[in-house]
Amino acid sequence: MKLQSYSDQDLVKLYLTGDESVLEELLRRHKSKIYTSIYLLVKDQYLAEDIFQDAFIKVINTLRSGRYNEEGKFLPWVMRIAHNLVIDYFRREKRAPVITSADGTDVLNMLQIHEESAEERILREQTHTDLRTLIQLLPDEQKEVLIMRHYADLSFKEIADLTEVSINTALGRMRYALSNLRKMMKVKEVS
Amino acid sequence: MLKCFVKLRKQTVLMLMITTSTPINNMNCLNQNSENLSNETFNDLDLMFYDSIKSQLEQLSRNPQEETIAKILAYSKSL
Repeated sequence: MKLQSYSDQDLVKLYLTGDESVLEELLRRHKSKIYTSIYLLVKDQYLAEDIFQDAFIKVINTLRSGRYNEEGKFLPWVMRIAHNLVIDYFRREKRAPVITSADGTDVLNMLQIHEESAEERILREQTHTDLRTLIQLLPDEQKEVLIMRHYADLSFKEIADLTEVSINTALGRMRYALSNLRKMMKVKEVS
Repeated sequence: MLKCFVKLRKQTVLMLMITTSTPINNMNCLNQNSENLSNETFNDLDLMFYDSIKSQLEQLSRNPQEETIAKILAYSKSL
């Protein structure tokens, strides 16, 4: 019986019996969804490769240690691992050392770098036409839901669980993501 | 045609005024077994727009390098 016809759960069981070819099938089946999701979140190919690799090393270690919950779906579980690794990366980036001047002022503040609102970003980048660019202009939480829904194929409940919000909030973010993308593309057409 | 457009615009404006924390009515429409974007939770404009960009979204899909896959498989075999 060909591996392609096995469910993810059956493949995991086979893998635990020592069949290494099964891992190849699981990767073949899900690599695009997982990698694309990571890549669109971190926007760096090499970083995405690292996180993808780290995610699957965690997957392998958890499977081998018998800690995998068979009731859970495989793809959402891997996506949760990958998502947590992405979050860890962004947290490390935020904790970059603050450089202060002699009076204790954060040097970066003197450069007047400020966080743009979504509207400011939309207005600033209104000449961009590439859909990938437009997706990157979305507020992070909206981009996250859109990516997880479209590329990782997660349900809104799974997205809500993974991002620790209510289903209503996850749905709302998806609506806003679509609405904002539509607005940006309209601005692009007019310009 | 113009009336339809105006109605859609009003609908869009109303949707934009709703905050993300506002409870959505008809949440019992959420069916975990077939959870597509449905009319109950997304307006027609959003659904049409999403359909129109799906193929473009698919074109953004990427795969990891074969080298990365090989490293993962090698790690598993090494255990």
